[in-house]
Amino acid sequence: MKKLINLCMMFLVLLIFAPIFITIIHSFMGMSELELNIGGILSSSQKPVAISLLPSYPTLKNYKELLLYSEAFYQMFWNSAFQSILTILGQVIVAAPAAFVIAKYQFRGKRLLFWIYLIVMLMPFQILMVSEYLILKNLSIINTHWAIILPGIFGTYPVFILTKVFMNISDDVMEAARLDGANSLTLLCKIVLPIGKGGIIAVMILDFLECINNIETPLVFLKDKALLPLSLFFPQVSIYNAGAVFAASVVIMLPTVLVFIIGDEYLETGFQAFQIKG
Amino acid sequence: MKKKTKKLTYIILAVFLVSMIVMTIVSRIMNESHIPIVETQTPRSASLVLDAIGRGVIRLATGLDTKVQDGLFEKDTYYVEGYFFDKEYVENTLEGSKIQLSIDGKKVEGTLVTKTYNYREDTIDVVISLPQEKDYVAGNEIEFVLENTKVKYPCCIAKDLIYEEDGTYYVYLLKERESILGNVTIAVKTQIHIIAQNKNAAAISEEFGKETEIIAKGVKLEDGIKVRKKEW
Repeated sequence: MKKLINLCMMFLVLLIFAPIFITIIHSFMGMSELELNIGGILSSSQKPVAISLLPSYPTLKNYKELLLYSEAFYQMFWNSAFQSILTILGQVIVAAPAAFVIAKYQFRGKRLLFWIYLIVMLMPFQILMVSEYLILKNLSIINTHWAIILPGIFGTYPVFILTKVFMNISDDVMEAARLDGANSLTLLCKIVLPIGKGGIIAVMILDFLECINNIETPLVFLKDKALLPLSLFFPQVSIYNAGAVFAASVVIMLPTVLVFIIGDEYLETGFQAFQIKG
Repeated sequence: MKKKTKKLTYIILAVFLVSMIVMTIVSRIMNESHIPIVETQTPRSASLVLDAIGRGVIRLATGLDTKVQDGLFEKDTYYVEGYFFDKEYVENTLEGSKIQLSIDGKKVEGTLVTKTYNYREDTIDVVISLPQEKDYVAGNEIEFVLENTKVKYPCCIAKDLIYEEDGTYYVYLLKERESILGNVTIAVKTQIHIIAQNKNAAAISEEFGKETEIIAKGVKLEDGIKVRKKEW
């Protein structure tokens, strides 16, 4: 019985990995084989879709096309990198003090303020899209990198997560530091940030993933194609560039996986912050 | 996770970032060296020197013939009655112009006597006088050519610019397109319809503006490929 359950679990795990497996396999296929397999999806023909477990004629042509000749890929990669790094740094700079104040200070309307953060966090982008567009247009930063970075910096969910993380920091530690003459800034820099380091890194990793996968914001706020991030490289798929798109997916999977490996223990810390204290 | 694995992950990430920087530069160099440099020409309104081909029948003027009664020909003289389909070819040709005729495989030079527009057939009907020293057979159908007639067309291009594929003609236009790398110039394959042509030039029905740039032959082109215009 136990073996059967294990086999079922194994099957489910394989099922989860199927899209990644398909992406990797297809990145090594030539154009004719890709057309044979997925031509039905990418063209108007009614060909049935086939999934091969291995490429019939493995080729590195797609990687060669992508890495040597696709200047657009690099342009979009560096756009993504620029937008992501500034957004992540900005979010930490803005969210950490805000979360610190909400977590450790008592003031009128604190609960309401936290609820507002929560409500805005739960709102889908489509609801805030028009108002955000108007604000960015008035700031004259539509169609610039800042149209992506600024709304990202002032995102609400890092505040929500960091508030939960900082709430777990013992009040006694804070009190002891205050007695030693530490002001709010010292408390934040010397006590809260080092103790909450795990949560902050967890937020940075989640931010990184959100920035890398961000599609709606660039589509709405950027008109100039030269500013588009890598997330919009993938929707431009046709039968002629399908191989390069699969190869690009594999290449871009690498930093994401590496960031996860580096930050897995911090992610655990971040998620632990949500645990209800006994 | 083991410290060694983590260290290795950091190294891989660093290598990845460094290779992305290097590959960005490499791909830029590779792309620059692969972009074909092209020369362009612009279409223009021009008069093409063309040969207008007509068809007709040899007639022998009799006493009852209106052309004799009108005093165009004397009795018992041979002349040709025919038409040109391409009326614009003969629009500016004056009566008295010389016309080359081919009669039984021999070249004969005739003279244009009258030309009238035939509304019903949409042709230019002509009457051509023949040199009378020849022996002709009345009723013979013949072909004749009005050489070096000048016809003005709004859009003419050099024939060197035209590609042919399965009976269709096309040219490559130089167009600017917004791309991820900023504005780039590309070659766009565009079908054309030739309405008249001589040895060197062709008149086309497409109305290309004066600013249109047509890429000259000499480099291998494909629809949509990036090209760079040769700077003089």
